[in-house]
Amino acid sequence: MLEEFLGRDVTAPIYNKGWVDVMVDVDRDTGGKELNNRLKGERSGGLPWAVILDADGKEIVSSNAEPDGGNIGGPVSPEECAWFVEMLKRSRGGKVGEAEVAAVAADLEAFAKPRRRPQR
Amino acid sequence: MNRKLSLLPLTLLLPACASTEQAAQAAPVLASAASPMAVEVVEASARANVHNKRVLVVLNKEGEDLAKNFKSDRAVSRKLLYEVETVSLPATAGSHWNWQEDASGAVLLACSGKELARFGADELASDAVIGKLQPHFCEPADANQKLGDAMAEAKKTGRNILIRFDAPW
Repeated sequence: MLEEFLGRDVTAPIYNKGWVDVMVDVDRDTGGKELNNRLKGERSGGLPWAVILDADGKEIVSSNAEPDGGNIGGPVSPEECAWFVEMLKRSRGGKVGEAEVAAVAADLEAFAKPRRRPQR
Repeated sequence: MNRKLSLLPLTLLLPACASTEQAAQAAPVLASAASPMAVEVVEASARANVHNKRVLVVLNKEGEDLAKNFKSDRAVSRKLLYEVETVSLPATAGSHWNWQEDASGAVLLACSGKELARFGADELASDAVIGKLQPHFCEPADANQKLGDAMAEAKKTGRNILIRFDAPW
């Protein structure tokens, strides 16, 4: 789902401008599961899991949301989407402006909203 | 209705497939107005590029659905899920591959669009399909190589790296 979102017309150019995208298949890629375990450590949650690193491989932020540490997965819910946007804000560096992150946030809301389960 | 594109996106024409083995095999394949490629194949090729898979274009003569055979066998469908992006089209949409319109079968493509193999319907019986396709599956990508390449790219371009961990299931 995240992959589908990152390929959208509004988001893709901004995303590619600011971040190098890597997809690791933990089942098929050699060393994929080990790399996932190494970068994730003891943090909770399964797949999909994401982490943003700097060019030296140092972690900036992960998909384990603050403060409760739950993995946002997809993301789909308002809280999950908010954390994903926070991840982008913390890691945009000098390449992507605040307005561009806001545009991605709006695009994520448009993408995620129809996929949310109705609240009872 | 099959939408057709007269031109493939340039990103699909570059040999930017996930593994070096794929890159060695890949060659740019241009769709032309004379032999357009279905948009479903273009989209599947983009996904295959990201996920280190092949594209299996199943071409069905009228009244047939070869891909249904694959789905009915759990072991086969799981293996195919891991290794190929499957697209089902009517045989009449196979002009790009000079496909006979009254025959069912499949064409296996690299993510660049390069044809790797083609099969008749009798070669794709459920229990035989994996054996036929297996020699053409992609070599596994190396996760640490992907990360190393990403770090080099990030350093060169001043960007950070977003790593997504996932699985076909």
